[in-house]
Amino acid sequence: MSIVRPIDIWLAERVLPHERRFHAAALRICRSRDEAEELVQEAYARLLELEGWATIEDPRAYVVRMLRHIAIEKLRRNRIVDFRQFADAEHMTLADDAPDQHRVIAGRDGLRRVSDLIAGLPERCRTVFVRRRIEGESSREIALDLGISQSTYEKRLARAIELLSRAWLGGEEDSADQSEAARRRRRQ
Amino acid sequence: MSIFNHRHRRKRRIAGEAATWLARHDAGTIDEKRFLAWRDASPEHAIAFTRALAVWNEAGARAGVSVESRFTRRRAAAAIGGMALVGLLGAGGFTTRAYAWNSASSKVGECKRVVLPDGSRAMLNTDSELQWRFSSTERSLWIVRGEVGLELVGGSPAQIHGLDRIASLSQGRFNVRLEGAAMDVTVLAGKAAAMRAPKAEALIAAAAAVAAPSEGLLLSAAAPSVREASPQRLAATVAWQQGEILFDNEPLQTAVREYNRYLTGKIVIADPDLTGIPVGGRFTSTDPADFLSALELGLGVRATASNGGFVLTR
Repeated sequence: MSIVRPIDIWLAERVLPHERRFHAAALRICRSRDEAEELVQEAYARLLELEGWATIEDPRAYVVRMLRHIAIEKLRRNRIVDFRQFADAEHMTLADDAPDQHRVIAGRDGLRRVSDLIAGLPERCRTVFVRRRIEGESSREIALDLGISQSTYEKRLARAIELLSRAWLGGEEDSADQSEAARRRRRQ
Repeated sequence: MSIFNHRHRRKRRIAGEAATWLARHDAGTIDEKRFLAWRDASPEHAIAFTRALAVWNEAGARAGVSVESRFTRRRAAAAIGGMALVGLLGAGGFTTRAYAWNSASSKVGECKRVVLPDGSRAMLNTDSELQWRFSSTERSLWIVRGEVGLELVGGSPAQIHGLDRIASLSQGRFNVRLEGAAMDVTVLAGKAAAMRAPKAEALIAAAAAVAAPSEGLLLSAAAPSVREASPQRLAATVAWQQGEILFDNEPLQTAVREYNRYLTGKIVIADPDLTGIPVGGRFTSTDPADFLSALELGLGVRATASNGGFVLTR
């Protein structure tokens, strides 16, 4: 796993699973979805630059704080001060201090989504993805059995990963993904 | 709602590249130098790659647990055994019970996913009930109460009944909601047409009332009508499926009524002067805490807990 750095794993496992939470928090201090998405993206980019990431105890709370700092930074730069936004930013950290019952449930919901999303993949991609990732067959075995080339196998697997990664986190592209998935299903 | 604008296309392209790298990495065919060059070219690339990695890990961690055999027929029996198949039989058993109505319902505050016999999917919003009857020639759905999101696969024509109204649905995605004496069908993808009830064989689409994507079809005592669904409306119909509730400049009264659908302990507006205040925002549907504190912070409206619910005052 040489190309996958520890920080990648850390980001994938400790930070990204909370992404919907981050988006919700960002949306409350931004004026649009695009802006909120940019804010979250900016926070990730800064995380990747961070030396001491391994010492962060609660990555979720940390990112929420970052979102607030970055948002306030931007507000100051823009020189247009909207008190409502400041008030919300203040309030946001307070609201996110401890995971309450509701959030625990929401989190579990997020996990369940992955299997739903896999179910929604176009069939060819799904077959390859499930056999490789869920059932642990080797790529050679799958390609041979399906009578497809290694490169076709890789393309289908990549397509599955792409669709999942776009739909799983954030969730805001769901509608586009699903209609696209439906379109592909018809074509294949 | 321009999903297909430049930014999104770019994001999509990067997600595709990241996925390709991960697939090659897994297959052992990755060109590491080229990958590293790609990753270092932009933080966006690095983030997209960890995103692909996250979903990859997540799916792997759940191997055999919940991605049941529905999709891997060949190996299903061996891998999972009889237990997991019980649910599948329930969903796939329509050939033997073709003319029975099945039903699913959700409690207040609950959201429920249902896989229909042909693989179509339904999502029940809070306090909703859906019934269905599927055969090789028929797909009938009946919304008894509440709100349902539908994702229909291709097949025989589907009909949704609500109150005594009927709409015919194509393959596509729809949001169907009963409001008072009306059935409101919002089309996200596909087509919805008003039908004349009730002669089942002679159902003919009323010529004018066909709703296309981003349109809503309203079926009530009056003649069926089609209107354009606002982006906010479309966003709201998607939002509830994510456990969120979306207000865009709605009177507080409307917002509270909408919120109360999800709550067993209701919110009551005690001060009539408050009812018309426009409010906006995105909140978690089953937990009003953020909504109430936004009201307090932004509008100076006080929420007092009372009888398991909340009373709003100045």
